[in-house]
Amino acid sequence: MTSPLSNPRLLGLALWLAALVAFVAVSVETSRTRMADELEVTGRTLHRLISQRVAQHDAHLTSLIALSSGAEPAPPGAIRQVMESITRFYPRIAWLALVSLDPVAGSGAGAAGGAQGAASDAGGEVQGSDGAGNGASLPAGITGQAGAEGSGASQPAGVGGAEGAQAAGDGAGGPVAVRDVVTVPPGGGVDLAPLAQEIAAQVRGKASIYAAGEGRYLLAKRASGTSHLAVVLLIDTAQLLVPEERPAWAHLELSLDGAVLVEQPAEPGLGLGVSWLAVPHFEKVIDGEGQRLLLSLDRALPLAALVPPERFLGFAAVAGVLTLVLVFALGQRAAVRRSELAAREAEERLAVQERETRLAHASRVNAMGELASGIAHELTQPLTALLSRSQAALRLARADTPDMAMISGALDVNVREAKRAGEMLRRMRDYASNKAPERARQDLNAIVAEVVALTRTDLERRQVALVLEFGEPAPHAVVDAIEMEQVLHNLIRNAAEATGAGGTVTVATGAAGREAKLAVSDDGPGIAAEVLPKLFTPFFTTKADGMGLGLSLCATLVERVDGRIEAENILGGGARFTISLPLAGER
Amino acid sequence: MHRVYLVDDDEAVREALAFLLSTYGIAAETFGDPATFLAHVDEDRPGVLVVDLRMPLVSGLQLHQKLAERGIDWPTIMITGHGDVAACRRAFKAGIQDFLTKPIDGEVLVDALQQAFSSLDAGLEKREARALLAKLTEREREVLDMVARGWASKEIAAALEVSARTIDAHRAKIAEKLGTSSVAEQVRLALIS
Repeated sequence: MTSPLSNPRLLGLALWLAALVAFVAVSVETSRTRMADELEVTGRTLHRLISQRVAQHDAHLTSLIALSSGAEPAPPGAIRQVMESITRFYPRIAWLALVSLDPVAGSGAGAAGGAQGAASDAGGEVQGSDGAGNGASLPAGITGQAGAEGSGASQPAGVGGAEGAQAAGDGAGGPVAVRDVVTVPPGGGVDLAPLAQEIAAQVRGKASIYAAGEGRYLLAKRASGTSHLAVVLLIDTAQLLVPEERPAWAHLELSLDGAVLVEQPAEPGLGLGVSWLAVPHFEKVIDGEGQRLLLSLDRALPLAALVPPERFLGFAAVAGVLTLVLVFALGQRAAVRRSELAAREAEERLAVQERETRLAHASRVNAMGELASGIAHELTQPLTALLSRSQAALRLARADTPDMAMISGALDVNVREAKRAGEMLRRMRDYASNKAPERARQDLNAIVAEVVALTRTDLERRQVALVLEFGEPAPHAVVDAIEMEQVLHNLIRNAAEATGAGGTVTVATGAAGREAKLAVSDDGPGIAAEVLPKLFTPFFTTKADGMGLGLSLCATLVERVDGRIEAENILGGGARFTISLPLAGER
Repeated sequence: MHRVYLVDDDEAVREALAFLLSTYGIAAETFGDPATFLAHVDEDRPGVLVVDLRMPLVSGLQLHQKLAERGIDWPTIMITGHGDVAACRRAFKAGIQDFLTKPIDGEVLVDALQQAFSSLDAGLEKREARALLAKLTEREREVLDMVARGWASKEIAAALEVSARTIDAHRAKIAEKLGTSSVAEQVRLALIS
């Protein structure tokens, strides 16, 4: 019972804390998984929405090109109408332009170079890394993009390469000038001049994307055939999504070629994420007809979301209550076990006491056997006197003149004798009785006198003299008179055996401090030093026919009444056994 | 009138027995222990002893022995609380008159005492006879024995090869020493000795 866990309260606290830790761990893991799944689902949903929307841009381009450069080109007014309705329906399309990319006659490579430089300035974000050093040949950025597109499923690299060659042929490598045909809204949008060369170099019928700054991008498509026409859409990236479509927790980015077009951070009120967990991340390229936008979603993992405080507190409360119940139950069980144990101990103690009492009784009966001849003698004497005196009285009564005075005198004495015999019988009966020990305040001198009456004849037969030293006033103690007589009898008999014929046994009573003392000493040879410590051990004996239970029983009986018994050798020979008992005061 | 000496360490027993004997007209002198009795005993005041076998220090048998050492062989009745055979045997071997166990019936005790008185008397007579016979010379004793066998003086003279007169002279001497001229009385003395 030394483990601290044996204390139900500590155990309960430990269990409660462990439960809380487990709850936090499970809660973090499930929350993280749920949030990551949510992010994934949201990411896919947004990706699909954006993909559908960018696909519409391509459709607009296609239809506008068809409208402007078909077999029967629509008049610019009609085109404008269409464009206007498009901007009305699609607010994200900030600007639509139908332009003509007319080759500039006579312009040299230098002019083209200048245009190229301007383009580099305008689309710096896209082409900043490639622009410098590019000559009349296709800009590396476009080529790279075509190449990248070629690696996609929709367009094999070989086709891209062939179209690239065709485009180079179309462009004839010469500089082009951008001429607005129709723009909606007029005067809005961006200056396409820097991009003219690139747009002119595009594969016909295939949309290309260009960063346009301010979170916008351009989508351009050249008309088919030999037309110089091209349609350009300026799209506000941020409006690809309606704000409600993005969950408040999502940190959304749409980027083009590594450059962020739009960044919508999560709502700051949701709290900062914990630093010790990997943040769930979603990333997917929008696959929309040349509009290679990268959608990336991040989600912070704030502690409050991982371990919702109200659920944590609720769990803590429930776990606390359960733990308290458990602790209470454990406490109850321990208490029940303790009381059971105490009951069993008490039972065992009672059984032991009963055994001791039985043993004490058996020992007394045994002693009574030893004393029997002496006691018979004790009884014979009064009986002899009774019989003789009765016969004498009878003879007197039968005389012619009965001497009544003598007869009644004889009867008087007879009554006294009969009482003496009765007293002896009572003493014997008490001593051999098997009644339960009964503790009461007893006069120790009287107890000694009783024992002496029982053993006197035995001592006479052994020719051992008995000296009595009664302490006055008589010491009293709370004992069972019979058991105390038995202890004394044992000690006196041992002393008589030790001293032998001609020796003297002394029984003394007295009081010392708060203790009553009963001492039995003899003038025999004393007790051997090696025997002394084992005297009161059960089954230890120096007698040939002894059981070794006498003194151990004495010790048991004395200890039962909170006393103790000690043996010592007397200086000058002999041994002394002293019984010390709590002195019982005056009633 | 015969004396009874009662030796018992138990006062009640002592007094009750003395009281009982008194109702039979027997006077008993009581003693609480053998030592007192030994100090008081007078050889010239013979009596019957009633002694408790078991007493502290000196037992009844030991007392009996001590008395015998002093030439006192008065009949002794041993009384005891233990009628064990061994003690009884020892007592009879030691020449005890009777052995009674306590409690003692009055009649039995008185009967035993009567017998004891007889043997005390017999003993005293025998002692007396011996004392008288001790006065005779060897020849006179020889003549008395022959007389006791019923021989006449002549036959005795013939047997002893002396004259009949001499025998007569011896017989006169014997009658004088024994204090009786009755032949029958002389023979009785010769026989009980």
